[in-house]
Amino acid sequence: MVVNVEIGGILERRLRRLVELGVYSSVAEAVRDAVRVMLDSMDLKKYALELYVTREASLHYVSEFAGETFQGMIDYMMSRGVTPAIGAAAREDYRPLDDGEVVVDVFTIYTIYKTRLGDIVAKLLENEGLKLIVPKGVESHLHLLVAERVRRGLPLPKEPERVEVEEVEEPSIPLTPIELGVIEYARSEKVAMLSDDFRTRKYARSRGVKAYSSLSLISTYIGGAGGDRRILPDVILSVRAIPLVVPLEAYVEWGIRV
Amino acid sequence: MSVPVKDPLDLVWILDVSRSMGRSYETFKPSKLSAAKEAIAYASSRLLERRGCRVGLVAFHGRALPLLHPIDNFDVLLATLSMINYLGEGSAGGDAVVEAVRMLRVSGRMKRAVMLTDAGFNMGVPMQLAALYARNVGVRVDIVTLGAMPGEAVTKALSEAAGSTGGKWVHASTIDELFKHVMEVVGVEA
Repeated sequence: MVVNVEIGGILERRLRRLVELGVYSSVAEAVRDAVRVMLDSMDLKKYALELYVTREASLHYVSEFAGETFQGMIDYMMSRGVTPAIGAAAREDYRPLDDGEVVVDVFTIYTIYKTRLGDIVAKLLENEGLKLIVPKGVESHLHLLVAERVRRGLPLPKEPERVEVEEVEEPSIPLTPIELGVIEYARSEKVAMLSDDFRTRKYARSRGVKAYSSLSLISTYIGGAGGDRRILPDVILSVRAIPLVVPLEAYVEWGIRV
Repeated sequence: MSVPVKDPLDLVWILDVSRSMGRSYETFKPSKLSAAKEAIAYASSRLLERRGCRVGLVAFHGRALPLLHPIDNFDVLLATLSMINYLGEGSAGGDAVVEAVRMLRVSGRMKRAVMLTDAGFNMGVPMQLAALYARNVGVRVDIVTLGAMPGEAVTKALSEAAGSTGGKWVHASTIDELFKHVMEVVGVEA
């Protein structure tokens, strides 16, 4: 991105002196450094929270803006009395998958691998022919989550399929370019999408994409052959530790006593 | 005001599994117990990512049940929590504090116990005496009540008992408040 900024007078002269002295190789580099220092000095989480509350931005969008991890941003929001809109709100969010092929957004990769939902995915990939599609651009993120599962001694899902997803820049929509890219991929390839963010799902549906939360994996697992319900209390508790919203009706439908 | 967790820490959760915890209350659904378990899972998942932190678990109704000595394995804690759905008669909060202190007695780390309860203790060691034992062993006890606000006499007693150990009493009327308070008392900074 190219931004033209007019700088004159004493500011310009001081910048040029710094370049002459060799502190910076160019005025542009000095300005870039100044912007970095300014952003580092600001409490971006505070503004990210404001974005989240006022602009209905996705969790990924505000986490990226604040330079925070998902967990760090969630904890910040919770500590300020804002419950993130993540998980499932209604039955359409956690109903069983109609299709065996789903593309996953970045936050949902996090929720699946961070929780015992990863165990469910492993079983669905193995026994039910589920095809999980992950954007290639987030492989490093996926590797970290896989490493964490290995460290915790948890089962690893079969390698998901990686696809090229083109990022989509749309400044008027408060979703990240990769989220918008995943939605466009789902739309063009006619596959369903898994997203644990209420707002990302809402936008995906407005684009004609079938969107589910990762909790629909539980409903699919229960509906499949040999779905062992004994693992479900652990799965649900791990999901609530994110904390994803799990509707009361889902507990009843899944037959889970808590 | 949260206390940042920087030093190695052993924290024992004291979970009320008396019958009243099995009931729902406004946003605590399906039950106060399920909400308390979720809050413990949420806070523990953060604590256990920090080097040198371990968590344990004591459940109580009319009796105190030491279920898990401090451990750094989140999945074992999760499996233990998810199996707790027994709800017994009576409520011996003081006995549970004593069990938690016993678990922590030999720990060379910072020692903390956090109780989640809807209060109404009617059995066992009085809370003030249990708190005295905790203080003498160097265990800070925090008490989080949830659901309907307990009466003035109860809140005063809980506040004094927790305060005597260096801890505090807080009340959560909603599940969001519960998560927030639990994170605050365990000192995980956001």
